Amino acid sequence: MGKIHIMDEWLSNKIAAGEVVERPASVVKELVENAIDAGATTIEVFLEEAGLSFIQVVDNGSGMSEEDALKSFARHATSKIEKEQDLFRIRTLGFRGEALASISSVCKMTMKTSDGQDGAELYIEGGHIKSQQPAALRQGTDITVAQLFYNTPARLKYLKTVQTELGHSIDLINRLALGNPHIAFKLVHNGQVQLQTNGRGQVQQVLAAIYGAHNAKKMFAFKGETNDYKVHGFATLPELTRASKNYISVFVNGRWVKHYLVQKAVVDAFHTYLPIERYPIAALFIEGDPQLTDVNVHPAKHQIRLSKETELLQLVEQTIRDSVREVVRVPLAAKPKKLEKLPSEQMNIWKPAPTFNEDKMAAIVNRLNENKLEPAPLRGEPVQIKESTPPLIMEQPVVEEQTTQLLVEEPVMDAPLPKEENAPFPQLEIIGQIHGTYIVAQMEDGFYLIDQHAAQERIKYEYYREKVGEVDANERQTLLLPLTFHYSADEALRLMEHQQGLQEVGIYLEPFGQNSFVVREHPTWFPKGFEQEIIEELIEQVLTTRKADVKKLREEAAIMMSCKKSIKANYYLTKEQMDQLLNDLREAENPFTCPHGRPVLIHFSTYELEKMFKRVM
Amino acid sequence: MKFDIMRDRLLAGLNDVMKAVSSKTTIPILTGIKIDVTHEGLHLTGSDADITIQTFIPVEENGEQLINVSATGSIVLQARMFNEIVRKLPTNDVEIEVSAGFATNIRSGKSEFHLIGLDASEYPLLPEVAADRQFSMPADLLKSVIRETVFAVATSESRPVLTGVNWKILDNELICVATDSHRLARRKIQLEQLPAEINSVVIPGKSLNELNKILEDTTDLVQIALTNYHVLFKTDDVLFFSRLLEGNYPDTSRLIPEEYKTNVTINGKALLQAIDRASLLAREDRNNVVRFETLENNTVEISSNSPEIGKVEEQISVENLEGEALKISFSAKYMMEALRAIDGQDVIIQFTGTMRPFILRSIHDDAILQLILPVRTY
Repeated sequence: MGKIHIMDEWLSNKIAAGEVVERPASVVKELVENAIDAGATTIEVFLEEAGLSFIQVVDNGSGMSEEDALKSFARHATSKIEKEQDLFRIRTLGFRGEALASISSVCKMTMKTSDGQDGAELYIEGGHIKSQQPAALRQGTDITVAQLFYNTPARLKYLKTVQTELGHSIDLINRLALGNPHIAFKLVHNGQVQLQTNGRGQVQQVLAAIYGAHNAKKMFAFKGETNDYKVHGFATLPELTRASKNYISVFVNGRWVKHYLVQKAVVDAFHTYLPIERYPIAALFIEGDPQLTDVNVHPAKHQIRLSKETELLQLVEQTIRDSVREVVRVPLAAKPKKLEKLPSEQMNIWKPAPTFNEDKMAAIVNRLNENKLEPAPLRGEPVQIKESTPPLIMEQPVVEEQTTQLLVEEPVMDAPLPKEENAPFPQLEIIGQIHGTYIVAQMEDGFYLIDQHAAQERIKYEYYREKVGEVDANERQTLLLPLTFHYSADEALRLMEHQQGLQEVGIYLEPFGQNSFVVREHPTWFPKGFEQEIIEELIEQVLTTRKADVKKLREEAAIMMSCKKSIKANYYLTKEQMDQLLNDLREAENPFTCPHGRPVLIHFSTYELEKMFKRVM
Repeated sequence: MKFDIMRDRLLAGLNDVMKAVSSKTTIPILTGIKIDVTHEGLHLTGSDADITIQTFIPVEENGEQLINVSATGSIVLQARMFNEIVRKLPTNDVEIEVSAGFATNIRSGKSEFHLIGLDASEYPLLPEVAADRQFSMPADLLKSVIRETVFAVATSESRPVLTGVNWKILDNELICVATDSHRLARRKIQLEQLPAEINSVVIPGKSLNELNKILEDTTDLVQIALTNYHVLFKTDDVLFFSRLLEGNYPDTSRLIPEEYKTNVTINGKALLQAIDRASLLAREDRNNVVRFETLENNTVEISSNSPEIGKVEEQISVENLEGEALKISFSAKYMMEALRAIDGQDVIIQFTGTMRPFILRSIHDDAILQLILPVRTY
């Protein structure tokens, strides 16, 4: 007998499980994705001990007949694709046909399923069906996974704490819920509801359920498209930030993916609007022909390959940037206290008490609409927060006259947005200066504090940002000893291809042996002693974006110049100087934040002042 | 506009005017210098909206022709650039000509510059200062008055009025007071022909510092004119305008103690040097504190202690020591500045207790008085 033999199926499933079933969250992911693919509209997930002892996923999807149910545990058994071509137009979340087989090999699983006509209840232990009996004919599937990893002690040993594992599961359900706002998700851990969405198809409601209504209110919508891709979604206003990029969720055709470049495009869109190392909360939905995307990269399907990537990245960045510019306002001095009080109402025999969750959501979204539609802490009245928003009988938002339905699909986008390129800068009347640092100015809707240094920094930055890009590529300093650069074969090939881009900024690469280049002269604007670094950085730019952008490279220089050339704090200004400063600021492209992302002016509305002095309660 | 001028004279005028020009301003035209040429002479004006300085160079001085005016007119040129150019021109003859569109040619020897100027009509006008409410004092006296007070002004704008020196006239005496609320400097000057109705003005410390640089150590009189918003210092060829600080200057007269419990007469220079040495160790400790202790036999001890570095002790014999024994701590910086302001040999230091303000003055009179608040140590 030869040394080589075919592994038994049980063993190969267990190996596959190593790839797919990493931790309880992976089981949750596979099961919930199956439920989504089965067309469920409600999915309930119950966990105990973060899923280590017990995971139950109940859906109301299509369900399976007894025959299908038995087959579903075989390896490479799937209903999702049939032919080879299907692989290139995948619309379902799963398609590999490995999940059930893998999971069932590392746990004790009970599956109750029925397609409405026929059903079965199966008990599988370590990949082998141990018992089978007919099931109740409720359409949908109910899968229970108990004692996960009972037969793979090594994996069990390397699991993290309950909190960490639960965190992974919650994060996962959060993203799935965001990606599928039409499905009502419910996640229960040890009897406590961790997340509940209402499945009304409103992304904002899901955001409110995940990040809290308070934060969801501070999000704005964006939307854009090219011939190939459509993007839309929500992101937080610059005043609300997080310290991690983790809060940026990217969905491609409903699938949550981790795509570094797309995430970077979102962050770049907020450039100079956010302080350093702060990131927005965002949900970005990308839709495009499935043929343009390839998810068959890794069994976990977190990664994705995108065709026409550059075009997409540009679309994402531009869309979000434009929206940020439109909505960016002056941060409010103190947020008016949230009035989250639920309306109290005498119950009526004809109108039963509203169920808590749905109507609270509706109220929140309605408030969201109102907040968004009043475009102006700046231009209009102070944000009026309705004392009580009666459920069911909703007030029509003031601006949105054409709305007949309460819950409009993506309300913000439907609302007419002002056409100006920038959010309007208020017309301010100067009152004076405080501590030689802040300018006080007023207008009808309250007063403003302006940081004089930040204000001038912004003005100067916009000037120098253009200036630093205007370098003469033809003025070059010859080097006595040329600089050498070594690259890998593929990078060298790409460099040869994009030589043009480098020549435009005055760098001439001469091939110098295999995969090496020499540079014999460099443009004169290079700072002394940093020639090598700058050339490397420009080459890096060309390799990643195919274009060398001096402006981008020298942005830091521009920020530094603008900071140095600006008046400082503790510096007296005359009235004329303050006038001039505010006039210049009004001309600025983004007068609201300084180049480091800090606010330039802060608004105290009349309403807040009245509240502070208890003139209104 | 076209004229020829001696480079040295132009440079001297520019030097004074440049003191008012700030590279950081929100009003772009203020980075320039205004040049006005008339048949009488040349006016140069620089301003940062706070201080405005105008110098005048006459066409003729002591029979010597300084300027040859071919056509009168005005122009604004970038201050730094113009100053550097004039400084580096090859010969002592400079010809400046402005043609259409504010294009300015500067010629000297074989060197020729073409500068783009700005419209002089956009330059802010000089503040108007009426001729009443004015008095005069010699330049060297004015300089010493500034030197003895201005160091004590506050550098923080958190109480803007304290960034200036308070001038008021009381009983035919000009009283100048500066304080940053940790110490106070007061100078009294007897002057003749003081106007009676000036109560109190506050001149920014920064302006006085610049004025001090421009004034020469001569006995020539400086005319000082006051309005509600501006002060004008006028010498033969320089007009120095400064805005006045708004707000009421706190009443400082009550801050000066009237009775003292310990009086020390000491050689100012010896004390200054001892404190300077002691502060070498005090400096490490961020508040820069030295201790002062009276001992027996007309001696005092200056000491300082920095836990990580070490300590210093120095005994100085004093001319006279009377009253209660005393241990007190104070900022070395404040003390040294006060001692430098009292430029005499012997000073009197009068204390009223460890936690009370103390004063320094010359043994002869109280024309110069320095008050320092001690540092509380535990």
